[in-house]
Amino acid sequence: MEARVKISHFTHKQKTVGDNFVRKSFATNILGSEAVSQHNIALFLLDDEIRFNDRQNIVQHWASSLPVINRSGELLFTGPSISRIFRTAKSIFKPYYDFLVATSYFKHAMPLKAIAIFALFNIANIQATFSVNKACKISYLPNFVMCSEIYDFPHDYPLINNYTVINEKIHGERLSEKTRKGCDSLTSGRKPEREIRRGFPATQVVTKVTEMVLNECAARLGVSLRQTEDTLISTMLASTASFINCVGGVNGDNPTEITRSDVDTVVRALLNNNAYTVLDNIEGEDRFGTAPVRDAYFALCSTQLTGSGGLDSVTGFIQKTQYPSPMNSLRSEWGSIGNLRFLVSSIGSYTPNASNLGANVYNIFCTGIEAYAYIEQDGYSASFIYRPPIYDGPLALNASVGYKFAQVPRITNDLWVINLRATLAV
Amino acid sequence: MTGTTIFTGVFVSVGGSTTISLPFGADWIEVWNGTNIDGNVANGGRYWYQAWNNGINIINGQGLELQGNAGATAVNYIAGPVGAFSLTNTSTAVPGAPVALTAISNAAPPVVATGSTVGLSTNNGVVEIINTTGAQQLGGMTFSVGTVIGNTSFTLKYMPAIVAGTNGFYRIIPFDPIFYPRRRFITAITTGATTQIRMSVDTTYTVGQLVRVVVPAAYGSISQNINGLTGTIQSIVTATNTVTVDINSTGMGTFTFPLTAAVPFTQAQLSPVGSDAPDAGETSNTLLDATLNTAIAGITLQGGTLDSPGGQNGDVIYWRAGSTFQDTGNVYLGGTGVF
Repeated sequence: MEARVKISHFTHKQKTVGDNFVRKSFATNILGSEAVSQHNIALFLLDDEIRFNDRQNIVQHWASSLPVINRSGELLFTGPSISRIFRTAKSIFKPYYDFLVATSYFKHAMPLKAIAIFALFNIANIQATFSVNKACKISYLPNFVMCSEIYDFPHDYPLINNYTVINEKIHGERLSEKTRKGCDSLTSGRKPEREIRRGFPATQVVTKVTEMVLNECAARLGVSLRQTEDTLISTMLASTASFINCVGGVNGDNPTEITRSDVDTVVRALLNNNAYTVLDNIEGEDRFGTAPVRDAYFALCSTQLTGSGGLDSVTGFIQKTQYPSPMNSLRSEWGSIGNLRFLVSSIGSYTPNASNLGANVYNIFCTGIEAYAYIEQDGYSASFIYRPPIYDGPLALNASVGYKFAQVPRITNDLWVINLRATLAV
Repeated sequence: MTGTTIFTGVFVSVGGSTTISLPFGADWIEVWNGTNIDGNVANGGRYWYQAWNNGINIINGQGLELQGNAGATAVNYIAGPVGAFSLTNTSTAVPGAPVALTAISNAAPPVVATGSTVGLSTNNGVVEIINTTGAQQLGGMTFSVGTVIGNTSFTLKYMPAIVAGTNGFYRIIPFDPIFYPRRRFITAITTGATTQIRMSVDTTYTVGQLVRVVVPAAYGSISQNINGLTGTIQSIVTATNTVTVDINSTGMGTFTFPLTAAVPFTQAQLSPVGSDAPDAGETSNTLLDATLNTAIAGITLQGGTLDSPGGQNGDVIYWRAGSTFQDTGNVYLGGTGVF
């Protein structure tokens, strides 16, 4: 994400500079911030081998899927050449797809003349983030978009915008080029790159996965993973943790809706059991509509308990927007009552039809610090597994991604976690 | 991914339905009844079932059965019996629909009068009592089913006598909480040098496990003494569903099950909190129990009849199940299936 911000900043400056590439490149590094210049030089130091190897791949895929005039074999792209700066991608490629327009810009490397100019600024302590995709081959298209970003961002402002959008899909680092190990995990084509960068020891480049399909899969799998963990923990707690029914309500059910007396009961029980609170208090401030927040245990519950039928109606409820410093609230937090701060989740635990009247019973897990744990088995936590197409079959058609984990949720001290059961107000 | 994952297995039928655990998410299964095949029985030898990802099953869960005529001169695939195959995930099971009851007696155990006992059989199953007039204290509790008289009544197997109630509902609970060991409701406590604790649902505890006794004030004078104590299970009496724990409760008071007017209250419960010795596979007892996820995802084979994939009692059933992946092209570049 760091790269996206910088590039965006850069392009805004670039827009005012002019259309001539050399002038733009030069002027940008003069008029732009030092960080932009540093970024520029860092990007250039990457190996041409990457893009040329990738170019061969993308030609194969485009030919079978997307309409494009393929001029990949032209001399224009055979090596670093200052002539590139006089060619615009739109005059060479005439793709029908915006991404291909962007991709075509990848062919234009930074001119040597410009490099020399950049070098005059004697860049040090470069910390730039850029994206390559050597390890991810579900689709090559976004890969090249990112290569375009690397080499061509001074060229065309509208295309840079495309890059920015794509970059927002960056979710995690796959290969770190900060370490030798990370470099060695790449193909041999990266070796010259390393050698070049050794000449600039202060240069740091972080490689990130920019594969759109893979990133989206990873994002969804990440959500699935965490939700699975949450579900397993809450199910374990619902299966075995001691509970206290809410009894202070007036809905005629057993348990009743949650009330302040029920909160006080469970807090008192945790205190009597010597459970430590999880969060510190939030001191009061002289602000309208706010109130100090006590140090608190976590209360993990379902989003169904929000609103007037649940937490919001409880005496002493403080919505997190009413905290003296809302920045201290958690994203999933709904508010606090007494010494409980309620975190809600759409997959919060409930036992269907388990009340006296057959209503859903919502499990509110009130927990002190270190009340339960997740034990990793076999020495590992969750693993994200990506298998490139080469393992799929002789034609290397399909990749696969997935996750696995071997973890066991356990209560570490049953006195420090209590299931406060409640129904909704009618 | 293109390819197929295959698991195989064999079991001996007990004459009822059998659920095969297939955690990898099988979507097809083949079943051979080795007993019928060896016996040269025309029917009931081979079955095939597939559940496609879009939810369309082969003949709505009936699957296909390879049958022959009486003289075994011809064979053909026909639809299997209704409900022969069903996909099962015990972690997502939901309670049954409410069924009206007309009375809960003051007998020991209490007898629940109802016009429908569909899904219940003697000593098999768990029910939850809902909103019974005069017996509100049972509402929301689960009970193992005792003697069942078809469409007439069933007993709450381990429940002591109560003041009789009248109209209400019950529903079948088709699952246990998936993590073992589970918390259970307490229905009775007998005090003494050791303490005997009876639970409302069949126990799955074992000797040596550590349990915490939670008895709220609504349960009488014993509450203030025994509430919160832990004890190690010394013995288990299956017939009465009672565990004996090493808590000397002499003089602690009396356990009195609340009456209907006590609602709302918190039920007495027995919570597993550990064990006095490491369980199998554990190297120490530094952490508490309830770690075993017993949920099953798989396929249930209907059994009990000749033409059922689950077979009759004693039949040897061979099965092969798999999960097959196919390329649709929809998830790849361009979305046009160009691969």
